Amino acid sequence: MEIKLEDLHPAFQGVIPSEIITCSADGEPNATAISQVYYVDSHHVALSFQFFGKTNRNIEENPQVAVMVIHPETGVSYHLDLRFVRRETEGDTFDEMDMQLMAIASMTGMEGVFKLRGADIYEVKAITKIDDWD
Amino acid sequence: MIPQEIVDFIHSSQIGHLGSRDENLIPTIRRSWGTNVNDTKEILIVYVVQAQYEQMLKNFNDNGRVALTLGEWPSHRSYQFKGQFLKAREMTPDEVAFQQQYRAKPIFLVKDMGFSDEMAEQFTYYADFVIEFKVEKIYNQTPGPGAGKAVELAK
Amino acid sequence: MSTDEPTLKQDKIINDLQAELSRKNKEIEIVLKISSEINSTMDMDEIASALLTSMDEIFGFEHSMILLLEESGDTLRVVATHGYGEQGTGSTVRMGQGVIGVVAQKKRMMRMSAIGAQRMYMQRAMANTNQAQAEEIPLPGLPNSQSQVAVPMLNKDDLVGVFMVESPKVHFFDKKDEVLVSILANQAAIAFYNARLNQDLVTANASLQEYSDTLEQKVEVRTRELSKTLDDLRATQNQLVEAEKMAALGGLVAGVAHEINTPVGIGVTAASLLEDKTVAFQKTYKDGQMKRSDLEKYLDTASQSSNMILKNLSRAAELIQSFKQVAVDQSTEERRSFPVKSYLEEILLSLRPKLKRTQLTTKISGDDSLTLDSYPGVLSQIVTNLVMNSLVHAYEPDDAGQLTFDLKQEAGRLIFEYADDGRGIPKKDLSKIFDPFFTTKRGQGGSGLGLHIIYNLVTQKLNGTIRCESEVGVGTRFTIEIPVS
Repeated sequence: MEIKLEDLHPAFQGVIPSEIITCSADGEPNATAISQVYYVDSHHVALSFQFFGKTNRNIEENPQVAVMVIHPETGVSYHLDLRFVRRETEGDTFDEMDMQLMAIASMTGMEGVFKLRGADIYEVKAITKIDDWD
Repeated sequence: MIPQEIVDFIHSSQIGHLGSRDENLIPTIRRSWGTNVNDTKEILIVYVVQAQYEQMLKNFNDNGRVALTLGEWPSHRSYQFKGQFLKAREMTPDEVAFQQQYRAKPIFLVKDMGFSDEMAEQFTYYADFVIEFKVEKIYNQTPGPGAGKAVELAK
Repeated sequence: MSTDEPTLKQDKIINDLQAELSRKNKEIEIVLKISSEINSTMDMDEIASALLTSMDEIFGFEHSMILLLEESGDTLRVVATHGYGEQGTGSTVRMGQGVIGVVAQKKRMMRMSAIGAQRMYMQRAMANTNQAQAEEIPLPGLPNSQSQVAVPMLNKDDLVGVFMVESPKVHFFDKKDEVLVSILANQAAIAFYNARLNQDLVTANASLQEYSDTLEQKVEVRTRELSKTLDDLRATQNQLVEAEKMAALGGLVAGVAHEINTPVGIGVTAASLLEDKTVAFQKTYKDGQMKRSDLEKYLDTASQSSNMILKNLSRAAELIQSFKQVAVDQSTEERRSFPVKSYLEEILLSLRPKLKRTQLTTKISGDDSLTLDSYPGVLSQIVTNLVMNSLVHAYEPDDAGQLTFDLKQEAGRLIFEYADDGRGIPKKDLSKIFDPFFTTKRGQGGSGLGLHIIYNLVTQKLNGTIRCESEVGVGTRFTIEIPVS
C-alpha cells in the first residue's frame, strides 16, 4: 500500500531526531543528524538551514538527499528520498520553523543566538517503510 | 589509526546510521545496531539487519564508499567515519553475543525517550549481518558550529 | 489469500470511517456545548473555568492555562490555570518568551513536541561553541513540559491573550487537538473581549453616574447664580424704565413751563403797559390837565390790556389745568371714567410746544361720546410716547406730515388707531420695536424704551393689545385695543 506523507505527520514533530545523508558530486556520501524534518504539504518537507557546512555544499552539487524519520507512535522508521527544490527566507513554512526555534531558544535565554537562516524545501520522491512490525 | 578516545566513544554510542550512494549519486541510509573496532584500529565492524540492506549492499558493491555516523544520547556527541567498503559477511557467535549486549543501550535510550518497553524491544533489532570498512577520515559531528571538523588519525 | 480478506479490509475501512465520523460529530457537539457555556457569561473567571474544566473533563488535557495581554502590550499575565494546584495565576510571560510568548508575538498558533529533547539539542550546540552558558528562564507551567499547544486569542486582529495546553508526555497532542483547541480559543477570545468591554462599560457607567449625581448639584448652584443675575437684570431694567418715565415726566414739565411762559409773559407785558398808562393818567389828573381825549385813550388802553391779561391768564390757567391733569394722571395711577376724545385733545395740547417746532399737523376723529373707564394717566403716557416716537424716528426736522388719531368702539373694546405718514419701519425691525432698548437712533434722542413702555402699559396696565403695521416710505400705524370698562 502506498505510504502518504500526511500519514507520517507525527514523525515531523521533532520527537525523535532524524538522520540525513547527502552525496557530493564526486560520489562521497555524508551523513549527519538533524533535530527535525518539517511537513510542508503532501509532497514536500523542509529542513532548517543552520550549521551544516558539508551538507549544504553537497546539496549545491547534488540535490538528491535521503532522510530517515521515526514515527513516534509506532516506532517505525521511514526512508524518504528527497530532491532539493529551493531555500525560503520568508513565508508560512519559514515562519513556523522560525517560531519553533525562537520558542526553544528563548526558554534558555538564547534568543538571537540561534537564527533560522532559511527553510530548505524538498520534494519527496519516494517513501520506504523500513520496519514492518506494525 | 582511530584514536583511543574515539574508540571509547564508539563503544559508548547508542545510535548508528550507515550511508551509501548508487551509481546515480542517489544516497541511501540505514540504521546500524552496534559497532566494533578491529585490533589494528583501522577497520570498523558494523552490525546490521540483512533484510534492510539490499540497496546498501548494491551501492557498496558499486562504488565502495561508506559513511557511518555514531551518536551518543543525551549528550548529542557524534562522529562520522568515512571509508572504503571491505566486505559483508555473517556474524560470528561472539559477535552475536556482543551485539546482544550492545542492544541494552538503545533499549534504555528508547525507554528514556518515553516509549513503552514493548516498543523499545521491538525497535531495537538483533543484528544478523556485518559490514566491514576501512576508516579513511573521521569528523566531529556534534551539533554546533564546530560540526564537520576533521579528527586527526593516530599514527 | 482468503477471498474474505478484501471484504474484511473493506469492512475495516468502513468501520474506521464510521468511528471517525462518530468522533467528529461528538467533537462538534462538545465544541458547541463549550462555546455556549463560554458565551453565556460576562464574568471572566466563569469563562476561564468553563473552558479549562472542559479541556480536562472531555479531552483529557490535564494542564492548561489562560493568559491575557496586559495593557502595556508587552507582557501576558496568567489569569486562570487548571492542573497546577495553586501555582501559576498572576505570573507573567514576556512577549517572545517561550512557546506562549512567541505565539503571542507572532499571533500564530504552535504545536510542539519533545520540547525537552529540542532544548537539550540546542543547549548542547551552545555548549560546544564555548559561548556563555544558557540559563533557565522561569516560565509558568510544567517544569518538565514536553508537549504544548498554544493558541493566540484574537479579536479581529487584536491580541486578547493566549490559551495553552501542555503535557509531560513527549508527543501528546496531534493535529486534531490543534484544531479543537484553536476553535475553542477563538470562542474564548471573543468572550474575554466582550467581558473586558463589559467591565469597562460598568466602570464607565459608574463614573458617569457619579458625574451625573454631582452634575445635578452643579446645575442647581449654577441655576441659582443665573437666577440671581436675572433678578439683577430685571431690577436694572425696571430702574431704567422708571428713569425713562421720570425723564418723560421731566420733559413734560419743561414743556409745560415753556408753554405757560408765553401767555404769562404777554399778560405781564400787558399788565406792565397798563400800569405805565395808569401812572401817566394819574399824573395828568393830578396836574388838572386831563382832557376828554386823554380819558378816551386811557380807557381804550385799559380795555385792551385787561382783555389781553385776562385772555392770557385764562390761557395759562387752561394750560396749567391740562398739564396738571396730565401730570397727575402720569404720576398717580388713579382710575376713572373719562371721555376719550376730549382727553386726547388735552394731551395734544400739552404736546403743542414740541409739535409747534415741526411742520406736522394732528387730526383726531371719532365719537365724542366715547368713554373709557381706565387709567387716563396711562393713556396720556402712551399717546405722548407714540407722538415723540414719530417725531424722533419718522420725520426729519423740516418734514411736513400728519399724525392721525382715530377712535371707535367695537364689542366692548376701544379701538385706538394712531398713524403717522413718516418714513416707516423696515420689516426686519418691526418684530423688535417693542423690545427694550431697541432703537435705531441711539445717541440721537432714542433710548429704546419708549415703545417698550407703551407695550407694557397697554398689555399690563390697560389689559389691552397693541400691534404695529408699517411700510417704508408710507408710514406707520399702531392699533391699540383696550376693554372699555
